[in-house]
Amino acid sequence: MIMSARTDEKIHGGLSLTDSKATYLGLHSWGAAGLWTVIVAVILFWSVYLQRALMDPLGILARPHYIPGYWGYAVLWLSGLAGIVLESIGLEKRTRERTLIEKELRRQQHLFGERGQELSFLHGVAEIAESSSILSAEIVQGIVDLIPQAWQYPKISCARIILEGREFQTEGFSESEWMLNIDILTHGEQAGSIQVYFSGSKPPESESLISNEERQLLETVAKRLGKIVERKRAKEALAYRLHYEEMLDSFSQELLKNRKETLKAAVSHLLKASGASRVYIYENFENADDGLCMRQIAASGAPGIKARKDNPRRKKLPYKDWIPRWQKVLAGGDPVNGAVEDFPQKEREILEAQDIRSILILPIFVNGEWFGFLGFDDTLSKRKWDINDIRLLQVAADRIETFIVRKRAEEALSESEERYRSIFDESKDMILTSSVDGKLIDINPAGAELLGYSSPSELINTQVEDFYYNRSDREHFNRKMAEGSFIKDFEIFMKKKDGSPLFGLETSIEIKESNGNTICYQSIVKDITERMETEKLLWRSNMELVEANEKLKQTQSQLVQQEKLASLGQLAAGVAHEINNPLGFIKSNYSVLKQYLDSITKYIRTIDKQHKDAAEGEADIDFILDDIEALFEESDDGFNRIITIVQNLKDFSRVDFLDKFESYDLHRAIESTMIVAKNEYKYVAEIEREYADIPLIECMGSEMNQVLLNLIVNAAQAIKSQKRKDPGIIRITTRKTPDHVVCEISDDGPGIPTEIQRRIFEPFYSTKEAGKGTGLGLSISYDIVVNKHGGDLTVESEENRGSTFMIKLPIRAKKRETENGEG
Amino acid sequence: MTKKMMVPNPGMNTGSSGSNDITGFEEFNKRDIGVTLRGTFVKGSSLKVIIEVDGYLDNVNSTHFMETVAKVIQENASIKTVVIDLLKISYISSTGIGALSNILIQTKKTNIVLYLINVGRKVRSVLDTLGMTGFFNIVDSEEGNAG
Repeated sequence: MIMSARTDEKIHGGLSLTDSKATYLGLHSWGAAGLWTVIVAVILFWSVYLQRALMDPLGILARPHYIPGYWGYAVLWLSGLAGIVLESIGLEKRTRERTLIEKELRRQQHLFGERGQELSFLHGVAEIAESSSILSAEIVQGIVDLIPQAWQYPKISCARIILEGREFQTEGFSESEWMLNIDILTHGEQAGSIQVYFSGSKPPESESLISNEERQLLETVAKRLGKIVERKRAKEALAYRLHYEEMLDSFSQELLKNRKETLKAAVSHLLKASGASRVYIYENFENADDGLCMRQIAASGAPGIKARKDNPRRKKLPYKDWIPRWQKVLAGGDPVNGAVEDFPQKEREILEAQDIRSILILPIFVNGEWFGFLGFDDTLSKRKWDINDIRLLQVAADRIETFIVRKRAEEALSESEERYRSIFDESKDMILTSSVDGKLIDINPAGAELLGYSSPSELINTQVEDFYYNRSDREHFNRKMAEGSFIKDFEIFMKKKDGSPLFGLETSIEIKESNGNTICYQSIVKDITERMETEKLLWRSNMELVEANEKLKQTQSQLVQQEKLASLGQLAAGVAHEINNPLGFIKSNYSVLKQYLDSITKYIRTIDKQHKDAAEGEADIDFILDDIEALFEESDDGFNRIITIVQNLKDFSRVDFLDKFESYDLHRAIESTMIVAKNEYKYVAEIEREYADIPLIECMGSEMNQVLLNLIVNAAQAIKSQKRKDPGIIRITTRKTPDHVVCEISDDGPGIPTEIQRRIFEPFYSTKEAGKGTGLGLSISYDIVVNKHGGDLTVESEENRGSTFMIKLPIRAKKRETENGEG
Repeated sequence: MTKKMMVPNPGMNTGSSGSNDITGFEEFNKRDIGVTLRGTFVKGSSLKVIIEVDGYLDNVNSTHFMETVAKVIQENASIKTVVIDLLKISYISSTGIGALSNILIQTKKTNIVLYLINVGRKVRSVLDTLGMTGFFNIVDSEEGNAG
């Protein structure tokens, strides 16, 4: 119990130390009385014994059992007895005392416990309040109420806490002369105090009556309250900032909205935050008569405060009439701030007329130019907005700048957006947006229509390359886009819904995110199908023109050649005719001359017999006469040959039948041609003829002779080109088919390489050395046989084995072909 | 064009060597305009040249392509046959077809025969749509092989 009491003392700072010490000592003396008695008795006994022993040590030694003597024993026993009695009495008393003490202790402890609880409660409350930084009036009141109870000094009567201008008192508080004051400090400044009032008059040593512990307790509480206030203030400041920021946030949020009343709604947020009665925005504008004017563009008033809507002048207030001073201040970027009563007289009149007691005007700048101002009226109190308020509200003013800039941009944009939208919708060109991987994101109605669809919605989300004729063209497109971020006049070849082609010229740009990633491609496709169609016709006619030109050239040269041949034929016929005449009389004369010569010969021979020996040298006359005969025979042969040639020339040229179909004997024609061409072949080739029984055909004789001549001469020249020793063979065969007569002219020459076989009929194509051929022979032959006669001219050839040209002619001429040929 | 056409196997001449037999394409290829050309003579013959077109022909490079080919053909007077190999063409626009047509016209004027080989679906679709197919001597590489 004692120990526990001591423990309590320790815990509670030894509040009852004096008392408990006294009790302890008293308790001790009573309990030890008996013991002391016994100890004294023993000492006495032994002191007597020792005295004797000292005085008569021998007697003691001689009689050791005789030590204290009778009285000695008696004293010893008595004192022992007395000790025991005393001890038992002391014990009893001690027990009784202890019970009392224990009772007292228990009471004390009880009291102590309550106080302890209260004390710790007081601590706790202060602690809780501190930790949670909640400082409600209830908590402070609770703390005040606990103070008297926590007080050891009995005469304490009441307490109060003064904090931030508020007072919290215990019940029935009254001030007294004797008090203890502890200041509550925040950041070293007094924020309030804790006061404890004691009943009765103040004793001189009153301070010492208050224990350190009690003072410390109060100081702790004061410190804690101070801290709470500090925190509360910090928190309030934070809340204030947060509040402003929240306001600015909602203000900014409001500004982001795109409504008609955006500014007004935004301004109403400022109203709540600033605690002003009215908030408004004015915008400057130039007026020709009044110079710079202002007009209200948004305003908001606290409930009960009119927003001056009725003021007609808010539409136009010239600065010079109104408040010229502000123009300078605001244009210079400074605010107008303060209580109206401190303002110049003129301004006061204007402002006080509107019940404005304090005013804050913040300039608004847009793109560095003074745009107008944001104003705050306070109709209730006169004050000056502090720098923090101004700083925060200036942020709001700056946000208005962003809003105005954005709004201006939006206006400009929406105008262009509208314009672009109408371009998109109304354009006759296809406008489309596609993703990088080719998904069609958007297409205008014209685009859908061009592709043969009724509405763009049918196309959106399809793949662009689905409409490409060649899907891989998209790869080319992508590659081009990747190269330069744009593509100009890319020709795309698309197919419509019905499969018909659509030619487009596509111009595309890349739409990029701010980080550089491509979002999509924007393309305009111009339909050039029609243009393409025209171009196509142009090209075709161009190509046809080229071909016609070629044909013309060919025809022209053929005509020239034919003309040449015809002239030649005419010439030949003329020559033949002219030769024929003298030939006729020469031949006739020659015959007569021969007859004459025969007669002369007969006569000479007769004379010769009669005058055999008449003269020397006459022996030769026989030889002469014989030779004359031979000469005549040879001449005869020559005449015949000339006559045949002339006749053939006449036959070949067919002067009388030029360009007219006539009955044509192919065999006879071949023979005539052979004679004309004899010079070409006679040394290089032998002619083999295999004639079948063929009918006469309808043919343009002179033309066909030309063909035969060409083929025979070509065959001879081909053989000749080989420069071989043995003569070659030119075989001419004829045969008949039901409707045609076929003539084949073969040679065993070098043949024609396959590559040029198809070209040999082309005009001017020649394998002969320059000057040796015109390159027209076969092409003219082809024209005569195929075009003029409706026949066929083909070649079969094998290199080093020879060539065979086959002429196939209809027996009866096809008149239409003829006409074409002649035309 | 009903006549049988015969061109040598282009496979023998394409891709076998990286060099141009014909001078005149180097500068064009250096310009890096999306298409490169390579001309090789057939089997050492100076009569026939195969021109490989590698890349694309669009409205930008076609004219230059045409002029280059025309000039090269003109400068090599011995050439009688020009074969344009379109195997490696990735894209052709109508301008490209126009360029080929102009080359065709030029060759016709100078008595050179022009063939197109390895005409893929892409090129043919454009040719067909423009109605130009009939003007060209188009030879499949298979037919070329057979010939």
